[in-house]
Amino acid sequence: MSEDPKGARAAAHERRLTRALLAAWWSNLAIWAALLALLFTSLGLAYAPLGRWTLVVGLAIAAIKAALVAWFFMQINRATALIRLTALMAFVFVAALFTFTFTDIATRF
Amino acid sequence: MSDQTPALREPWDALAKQREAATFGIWVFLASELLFFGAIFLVYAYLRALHSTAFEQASSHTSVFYGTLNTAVLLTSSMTMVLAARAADIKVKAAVVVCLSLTAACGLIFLVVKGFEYKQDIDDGLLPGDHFALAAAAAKMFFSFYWGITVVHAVHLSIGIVAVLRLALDVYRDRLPLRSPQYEVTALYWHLVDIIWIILYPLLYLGGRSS
Repeated sequence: MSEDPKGARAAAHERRLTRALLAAWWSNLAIWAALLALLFTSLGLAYAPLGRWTLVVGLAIAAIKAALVAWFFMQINRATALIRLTALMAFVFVAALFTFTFTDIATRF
Repeated sequence: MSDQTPALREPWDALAKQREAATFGIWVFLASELLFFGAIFLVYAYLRALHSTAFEQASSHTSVFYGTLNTAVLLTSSMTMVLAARAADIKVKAAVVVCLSLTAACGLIFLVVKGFEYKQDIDDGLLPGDHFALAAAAAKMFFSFYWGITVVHAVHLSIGIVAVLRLALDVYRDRLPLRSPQYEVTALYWHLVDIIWIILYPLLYLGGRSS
């Protein structure tokens, strides 16, 4: 008699795990589909006569893809303030590297 | 049950603190990796600003088929990696093993495709040296960057594959508890290697295609 509620609890627990795993599957599958759609959009636009904008469009789409990976896959969306700050600092330093170099290029040539 | 091996390590007194420290630690490492790659990307940006036409023409000689295929493979590997980490969160061991194995398999497929691409590049005379096929001097700079950065990326990916395979083997043999922060840490490293490739894709493969 006492086995029954235990078995029911275990079964309920099992169902919860399966549901959680399925939920993770579907949401991550959606992000993966978005990433592939962006990849093929980027590929298609590379053959459009956009001139100098080709690089801008290619990098913009790459930035969106990178942001999707960082935000959802790397869980910045659920991260603590400390982790968000660390990730942000990486970008701040890289941005500084590019900004100071390109102030030179833009004004010297 | 795999949770017999204690997940908690010195010097932490609680698993939550250990996880937080591990995640913070890998993010600091990833930030330094981003600066490492950022400096290499800066060289590309600098050279491209000075030799934009030659860079675009040179980049139209890379194999867009292999490049796109490999990008799709890496994006897929990131998804299987994140599923492995989530499966570890909810402690479904079989799913962890399967997803980690798929991730490592995607990494290996990437390297094999890259091998075919390198073969084609060498046959086309795109290896900088005496028999380099393109006339423009800056084209050599582009392909020096291409070879340098893709090899550095492949080394990073190889390290990732070894780390993922080790995790898969350890969890399969019940040597690593599912509460361990190692899944999250390995996944974060794997995603960064993916992000680096996402940025490289338009720089290496999409230039000069419309002309």
